[in-house]
Amino acid sequence: MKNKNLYKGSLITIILKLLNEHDKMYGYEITQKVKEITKNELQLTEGALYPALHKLEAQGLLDVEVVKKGSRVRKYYKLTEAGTKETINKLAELESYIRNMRALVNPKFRLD
Amino acid sequence: MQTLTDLQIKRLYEFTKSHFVEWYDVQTELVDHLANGIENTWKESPHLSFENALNKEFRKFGVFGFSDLIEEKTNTLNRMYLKQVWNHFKTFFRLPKIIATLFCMWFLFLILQSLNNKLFVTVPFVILVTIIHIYFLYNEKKQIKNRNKKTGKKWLIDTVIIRLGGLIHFLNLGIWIPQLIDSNKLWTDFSILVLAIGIVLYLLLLFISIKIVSPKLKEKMHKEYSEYLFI
Repeated sequence: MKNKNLYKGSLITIILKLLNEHDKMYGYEITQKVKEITKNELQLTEGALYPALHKLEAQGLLDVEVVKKGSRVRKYYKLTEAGTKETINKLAELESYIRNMRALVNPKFRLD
Repeated sequence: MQTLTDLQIKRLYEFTKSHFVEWYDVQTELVDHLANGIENTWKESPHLSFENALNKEFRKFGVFGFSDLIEEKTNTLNRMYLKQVWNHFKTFFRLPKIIATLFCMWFLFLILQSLNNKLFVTVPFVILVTIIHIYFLYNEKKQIKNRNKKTGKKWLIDTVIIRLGGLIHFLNLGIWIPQLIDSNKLWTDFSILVLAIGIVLYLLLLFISIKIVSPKLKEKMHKEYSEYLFI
């Protein structure tokens, strides 16, 4: 990844968006999905992903489902109703940010 | 695809424990993550040993390993606890509960005002709250001990509940006792009102934490992990 800081502020939006598109996902699956979509350009670090997931869970935006398979236990995350609403807000915020940045770096691009 | 054996999964639990993650509710997610990582590594390097693949995955957690995650998870659980306390606390200031809350404050204010010696109220209050605290701690510790014994597992949520999500520091009577049992204190109507409101709010916070939020979190935990037993 070229500049981690550019993506830092969007981590929550990335997680919410992915969970909005999938019924439920587990931590490792999220890291792999992001890698796949961005063609290895963006790699979520474990140290950033799990705190973000736990924070969203504590805020009531994510629900948890623990599935036991033999000796393995998998913790799935899914959006709550509040989480779905928050995803819409976060995506709107991000789109507005992208539009503004595009206008700033490319003067030919007009906001209207 | 090469998958981990039960023995290797057991080794991952031991590995997280040796890296200071002793709580099952934190271990499970880390173990699953490491297991997936190792299996993924084996797709590219099938001859890599389990231990080498494990170390490769562990390095991805950074120089501090799991310690940052534990600290963050504890803080998050504390915040979740306090948020739930706050949400319930607010309902006591909305109709219809606000009537009972204000009535208790007003009634206590009248009692305190009618007494020359406020110690007749403050001392029994201190004794009552101390008994509640001791009973709660004794009961929780007993439950935790029995749960650990029966399941062989420790739970991070238990350490959060026993400290009432950090609220225990605020509810520590030690910091309030000098104010409550000062026999030379001059009591004005305003200070009596503050005392009446303070006592009601204190008992309200204690009641919400011990009787509403703690049992709710235990119930949530049991729903997620069937091994988490109510004892």
